[in-house]
Amino acid sequence: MMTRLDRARWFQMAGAGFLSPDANVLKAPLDSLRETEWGEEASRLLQWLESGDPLDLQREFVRLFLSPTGAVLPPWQSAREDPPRLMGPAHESATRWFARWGVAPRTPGEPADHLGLLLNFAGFLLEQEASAEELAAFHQDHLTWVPAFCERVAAEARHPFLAHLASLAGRLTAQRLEETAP
Amino acid sequence: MPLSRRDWIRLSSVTGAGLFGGQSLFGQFFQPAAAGPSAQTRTLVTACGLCDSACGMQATVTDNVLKFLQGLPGDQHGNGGICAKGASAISTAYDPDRLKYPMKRTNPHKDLTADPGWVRITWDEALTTISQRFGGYLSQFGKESLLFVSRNSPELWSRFMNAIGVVNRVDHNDVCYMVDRIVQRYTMGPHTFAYDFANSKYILLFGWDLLARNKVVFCHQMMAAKEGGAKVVSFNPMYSATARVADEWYPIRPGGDLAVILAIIQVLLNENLFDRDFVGNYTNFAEYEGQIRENFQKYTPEWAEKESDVPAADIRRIAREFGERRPAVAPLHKKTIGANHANATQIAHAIAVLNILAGTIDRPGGRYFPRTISIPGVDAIYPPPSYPSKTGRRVDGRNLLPLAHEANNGMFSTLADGMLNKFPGMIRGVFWQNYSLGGFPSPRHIAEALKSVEFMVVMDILPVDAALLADIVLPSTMFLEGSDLISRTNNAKSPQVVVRQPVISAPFETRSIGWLAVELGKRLAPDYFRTDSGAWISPSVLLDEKTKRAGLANSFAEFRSIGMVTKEQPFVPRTTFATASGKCQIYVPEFAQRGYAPLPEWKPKRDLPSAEYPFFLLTYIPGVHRRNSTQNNKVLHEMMPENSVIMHPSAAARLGLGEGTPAVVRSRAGQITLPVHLSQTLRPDCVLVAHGFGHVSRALTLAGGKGARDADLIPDQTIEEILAAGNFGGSGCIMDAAVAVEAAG
Ligand code: SF4
Repeated sequence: MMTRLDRARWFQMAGAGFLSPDANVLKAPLDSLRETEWGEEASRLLQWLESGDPLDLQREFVRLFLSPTGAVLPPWQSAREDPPRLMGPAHESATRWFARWGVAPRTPGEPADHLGLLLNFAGFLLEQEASAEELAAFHQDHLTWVPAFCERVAAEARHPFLAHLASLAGRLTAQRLEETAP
Repeated sequence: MPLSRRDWIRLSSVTGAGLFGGQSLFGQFFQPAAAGPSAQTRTLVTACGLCDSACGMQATVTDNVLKFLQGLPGDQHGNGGICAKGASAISTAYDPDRLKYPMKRTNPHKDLTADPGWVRITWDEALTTISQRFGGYLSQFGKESLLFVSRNSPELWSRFMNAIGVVNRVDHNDVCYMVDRIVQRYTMGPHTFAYDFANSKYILLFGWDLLARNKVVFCHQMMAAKEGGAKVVSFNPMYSATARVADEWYPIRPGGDLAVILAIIQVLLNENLFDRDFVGNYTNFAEYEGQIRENFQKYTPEWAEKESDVPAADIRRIAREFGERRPAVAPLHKKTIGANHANATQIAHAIAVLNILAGTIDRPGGRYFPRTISIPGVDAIYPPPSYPSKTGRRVDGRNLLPLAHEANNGMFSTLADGMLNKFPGMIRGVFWQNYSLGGFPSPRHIAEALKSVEFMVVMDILPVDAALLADIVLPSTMFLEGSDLISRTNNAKSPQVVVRQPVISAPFETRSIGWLAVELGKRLAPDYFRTDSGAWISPSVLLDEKTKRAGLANSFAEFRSIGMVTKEQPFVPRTTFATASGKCQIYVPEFAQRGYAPLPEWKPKRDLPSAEYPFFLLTYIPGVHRRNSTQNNKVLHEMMPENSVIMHPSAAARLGLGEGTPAVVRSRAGQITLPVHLSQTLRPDCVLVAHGFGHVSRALTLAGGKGARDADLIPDQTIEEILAAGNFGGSGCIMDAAVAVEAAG
């Protein structure tokens, strides 16, 4: 079973991957994750991150999440709820979670319920040794939508790095939800 | 206070090495912040930016999240109310489809269906690329090589376009109010939509369905007019919302409005039912009386009946009532009949004459000039070096319409012909801002034309169709995120200024067009964007300066907290008018000098029903939508998600069409398919299609592919056609089409 800190690292890496799939940001973390239980997955991600034209990854990232002519899967929790919107209750709740822990996203224009920020923060809570109750509460508030969403990303993605990142993030989150379910 | 273990770990996690050694991965995306709950609810005053009424609003905001919008008591436009569009602007602000970051196309193949291969770029890269491309075109191919499809505002943007000498700036006003603006300028002075309906006793409405259009200022005034005992007469081929509150409704034949107006003038003149004091003292009637009387003599009510289907006896009676029940007014507003048909210039002129004869120009109960607080513009605050001359060919041929050219508006309706046929290849770079392809007559032609340009930039709030053809897409802020000083114009007998302020911060990397003007200005025309001290012009310092010089407050920040300033003053009617003669001009000598008719004369509309196309096409803008920009708004989408082809049951039955039957509507310009909706509320020889639907871009999750574009049925024009039709005001003829209808499939 993965240790708490390894899990925290995986969450943070996955969060970073959904915010900025950039070798400059992810190479070192992925390198160090090769020592963890999912080391092979880290190696694979690293290989896909570094092989091929980096523009292909950027293009696919935009097509999936940010396209100005129609993103396939907008990655904000509020945008996955009914009705889909930005800055909905999930954003406000995430903002409150961040504030309670004395942190705030560096990009003020980015809604707080971006998948990448939520995963990164989930890793942070693990790192901070948040109590089981706190972890369970955060997961219930902000991660229940993630496995299904990641499954869709994995199915839609035309770049192996993003497909694999999504499938790992989905698995990781599903496991945690199971473990922390009340 | 000593750090707790948790604080210490948190800080190191954010600022230190974190879990991975090196820079913290968490810390790359998060920063330390003051801990603790901060829920704080504030109410801020601002002004709507969806239509030019700019109603005052109060915004309830909790922790930078907008919760509610409502009207602002004391605001002269909204009078404490806002319409559905304004109230639901929150849904646009938080639309997941919003453009978020600057993007660059990597697939050179341009097609409305091709994947553009977007990659995200920084603003810096976007600005550098745009400056290099536009700068290159300017130096290599001259000023005529750039096309800006954009309004001439805000003023910083206007300054930027002037500074680089843009020859080809095109806007929608030929399919909007341009004709009225031109006519008003020469008949009574600067353009205004200010009407004092509340004090009118007789209101003649030609086409303008002001209640359904839902502009709060006019709705309130119309209801006040009714409460004050005004008689309202509506001429409209359909039984509109306004017709329902009118005292009389005439289902007039499309294009026949002009005939009825000419005949009313004829009766007013023949029976001397005009306001003799006003006409004698403040107009050029006496100087041209012979020509004026002779011009209108032939337009008898009996003649007008044949062109309009309005009974002659009613025309005569209405003319007499109009002349006798004072104050009387015949308003004209934007896309009512002012831009719809090829005879719009004559209609605008004839309506101006009606109002002049009624003696209600700048008088209670009439059309008046707003009293405003003078707010200095950027050129007054930071005088620019002289602007470069705008040398080069005008792609839309507007230069051949001197009055339109001088008004510096238009031309959507001739742009495609210019780009595709007259000057192919001349336009190399396009800047396209806040316009939809569906706003153009024959939008497929425009799309074709845009494919031919080398480099196109689109800036908008939402992923409009044109973005599919762009090389660079720039995300724009919306009014809830912007700052301005809004002077009242549509109901302003006393000057009033309302603040527009950012009630929420700009999301993602959205930027305002004013900001973009300065940034591009720095790169392409730096001399025009420096202050005397050599510093760059700052939009916020400029706003401070304007606020101070207008006497509104000591700074914009202070005015933000004040919200609204009204300077009560008595309404003193004008005795001189801003025309060449200083009088209201019934006969317009300047028109005669240019070879145009100096007095309104009969002209038919352009496309008339025929055996091939037996119906008049009517279009309308539903009250719950703002032209073609709000169909993706969740709330408004629920109220009206798509359009239909509305027909009279008798006409539909003849064609074997029933409620909901899919039907093809064809004109000489193109065809669309829509379900039939039966309604007794329009003439059997007309079909009605709502404007604003049929967005191509599937990126508009709600609106994409819903309904069909009325504009596909509207023929665009060549400048020669406009000249030959005597359409010297350059009406874009945005409703001038005849159509056939048949069952689909
Ligand atoms: S009428 Fe409606 S859309 Fe226009 S400014 Fe007022 S609230 Fe906004």
